[in-house]
Amino acid sequence: MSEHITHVAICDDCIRLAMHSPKICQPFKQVLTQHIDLARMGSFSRGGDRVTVQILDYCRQRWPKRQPGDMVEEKLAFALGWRGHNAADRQFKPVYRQVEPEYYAKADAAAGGGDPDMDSPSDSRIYHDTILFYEVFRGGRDKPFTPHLLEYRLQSHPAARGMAVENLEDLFGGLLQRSLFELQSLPAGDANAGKRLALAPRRYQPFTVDVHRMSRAFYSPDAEKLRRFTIENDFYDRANPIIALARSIQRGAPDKRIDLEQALQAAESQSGYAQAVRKGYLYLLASSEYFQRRIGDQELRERLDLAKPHVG
Amino acid sequence: VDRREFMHTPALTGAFAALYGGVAAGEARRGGVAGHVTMTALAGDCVRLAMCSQAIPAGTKDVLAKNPELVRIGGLVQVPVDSVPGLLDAGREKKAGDREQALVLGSLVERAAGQLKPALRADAECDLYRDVTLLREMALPQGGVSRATAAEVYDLLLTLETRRLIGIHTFSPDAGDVDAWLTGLIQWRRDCRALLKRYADVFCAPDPELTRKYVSGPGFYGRQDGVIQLARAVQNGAVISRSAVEPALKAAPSLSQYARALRKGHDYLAAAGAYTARSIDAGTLVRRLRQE
Repeated sequence: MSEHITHVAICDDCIRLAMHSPKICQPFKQVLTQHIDLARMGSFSRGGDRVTVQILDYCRQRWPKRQPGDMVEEKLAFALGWRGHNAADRQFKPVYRQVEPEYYAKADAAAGGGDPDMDSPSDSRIYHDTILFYEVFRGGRDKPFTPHLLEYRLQSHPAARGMAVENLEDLFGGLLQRSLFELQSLPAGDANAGKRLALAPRRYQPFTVDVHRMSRAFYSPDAEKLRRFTIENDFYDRANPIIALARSIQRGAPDKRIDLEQALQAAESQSGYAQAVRKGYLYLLASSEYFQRRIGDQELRERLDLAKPHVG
Repeated sequence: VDRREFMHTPALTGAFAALYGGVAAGEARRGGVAGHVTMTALAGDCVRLAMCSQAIPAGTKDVLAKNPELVRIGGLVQVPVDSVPGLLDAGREKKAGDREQALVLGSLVERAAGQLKPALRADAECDLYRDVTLLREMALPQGGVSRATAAEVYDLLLTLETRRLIGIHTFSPDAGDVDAWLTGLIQWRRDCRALLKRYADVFCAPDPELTRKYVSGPGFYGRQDGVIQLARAVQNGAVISRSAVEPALKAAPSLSQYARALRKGHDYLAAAGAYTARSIDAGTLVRRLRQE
């Protein structure tokens, strides 16, 4: 699995292409404009394969009679962002193993049959995030990030002067973990206390990613790691038409010389990031056709790659 | 419904709502988000005190040190006091049982928060003022002053929130009820944004009347309380002399509410530690946990 910034970057670029495309339905364009923050949240949520079709169907049925407060629009935006998450995972999970085999040999053994990507991330995942922080978000100058995001102790932030930021960060960690844990259902009743204790360590969200690793990779990258994880592997190429088109839309002046269909076709054999964005866009397109009742459940599932393993 | 089987089942009309127990749109299954900062601070400070206290056995310190994140969510698991001895025993006998023990210890720390009046999460505005008091005390050691504007503080808090989201990697859906989880998550997002904005406003310009009502009037926090000074010293990396610990933990007649909660939390952890070390029996442990 990829890291936070990679997921948001792919989500945002897929949304840009969707807004640009005449093939994506109007309800999608509406919710992705109004609730882009929720689409981004979907992009950094796991388990989307399991429920995407059901949520799309649920929203499709309720769309004509939706009401403010019923969260139909919000759930649709979230579900569309969730597809972006799966596009990134399907593209990059095998790549991480190719570029860092020594890490995964050890991690697979340590995981004992579990998924080693659930633990602390490999360096390649960290470097992908920092490259995209630079390329897609201009070092945090573009939303939803800020230029201070990866700074050690946020030292140049105007409000950080004189503050023990790490203490604040710790308190916010508790706020996040406790409030998210409350969204999880656990068996009720005094007699089930033991069951709750057994489930809770798997239901709460541990901090597995040290943001300071990203700080080091962003501010003082290791040239050898850049070579291995991004250059030799052709991770990101500004010249790929699908990336250039997304970037031009982002800057407010879509490049009219780039045809989306041709860019999608070319992306199939271009950089890893171009392939991931292509995949995410095609997921949105299939979802749009399903939402408009132009394709059925089975075709949607096939085009969303549901039930296909991430790593072959 | 088996999760994997469900993943392969063709979507049926209304399947999402039917399988996940109907639509919980707009229905939050939880309280607001204010108050979690206060409880996080209290749990963290109790662990800090426990680490330097002679009254806490080494095995208990080990459990606390290995699992600080579980200690701070333990109170949300709802552990009946009468079950505490049995659950501590069960945790000790299980592989990786230190995680369950940490949750039980966390539930005791949350029980100690009963020293706060009104109770945590009974009054959202009170929770807001207590949370901000602790944000200020921990962000500005020794009562320092910030010249930041509310807009700057809000931006700082949003940045910290994003960093913490990076830290958890991904949102993990509820295994049983995804629709209710999604509804709750969307509401959570709105609540968090609104709360961070209020944190920033109160951080920079607290209402004097509300500060008197919720903080200074009821004596919520006393920077001079020995037990608080000790916790803050540990937090900020000061040198702690062994001889300073016990006097700081000793009773003083007029402590702030937060200091009383800290001391109570320490006492509960000491009792649980004594039980785990077989120095006291189950009945004694439960009696000590029931002491207000």
